[in-house]
Amino acid sequence: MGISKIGTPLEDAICEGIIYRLKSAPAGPVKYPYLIVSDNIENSNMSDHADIITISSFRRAKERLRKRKIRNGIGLEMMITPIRKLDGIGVAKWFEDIRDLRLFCHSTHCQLILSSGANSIYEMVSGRCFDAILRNCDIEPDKHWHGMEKWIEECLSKRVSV
Amino acid sequence: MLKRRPKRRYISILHAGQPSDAINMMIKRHMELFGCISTERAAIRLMQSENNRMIIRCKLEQLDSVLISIAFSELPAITMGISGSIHRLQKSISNSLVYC
Repeated sequence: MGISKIGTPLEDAICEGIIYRLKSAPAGPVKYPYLIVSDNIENSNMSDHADIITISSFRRAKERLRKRKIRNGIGLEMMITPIRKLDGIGVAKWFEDIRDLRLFCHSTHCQLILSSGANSIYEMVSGRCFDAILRNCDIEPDKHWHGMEKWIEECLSKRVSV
Repeated sequence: MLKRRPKRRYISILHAGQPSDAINMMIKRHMELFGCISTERAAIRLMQSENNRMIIRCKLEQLDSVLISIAFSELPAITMGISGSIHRLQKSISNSLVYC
């Protein structure tokens, strides 16, 4: 599939080479790499400690994000799976949102994150498909993945691990 | 003047549901996003299907739009591999399945 790093919600078993998505920071040091994900823009307590804020609609979230003055280096994530259920116009609007979000991230020093949001193997998105989506939004895939890699490394280096 | 055959790409897809439903959903999505002319130009064809895996063919110049249609298809589907020939694609899929 051409994807070297994946993120998944933490369940019982811990696998090597996977970055876990947590809703809140663990109480003590842990043996696995993790990122804190929040979908609550309003709750400053939640989003201040989060590495990633998941946005369902950038159109609606734009003003709130501007007012909240989110900190530099936070990841703003948009998922593909919920968009599959929309009609053509909805998908086209999502593509425009990605273009806007990219400009917003550029001006606020945030990281644009595109993720599959998969709940099953069929909902996963291959690297080639991600590249095609990025090209369609006038984003150079190589540059984007390079930025993502750097951003993930920076986020994980701040964490305390055993 | 020589009439050159357009370059094509073969795409291996893992999908939910029936193969006919999966490809129809993909074509429908392509039409919604890129229009009828572009969809006709893409010449998306079902080449092989077995259980929940299928191989489709499209024109190289429309490859990105076809990949986008797969990613946004209502019936979930995932691109497993892309190749210029069906034999090479089958070989690479069987190799990757061995590693899995």
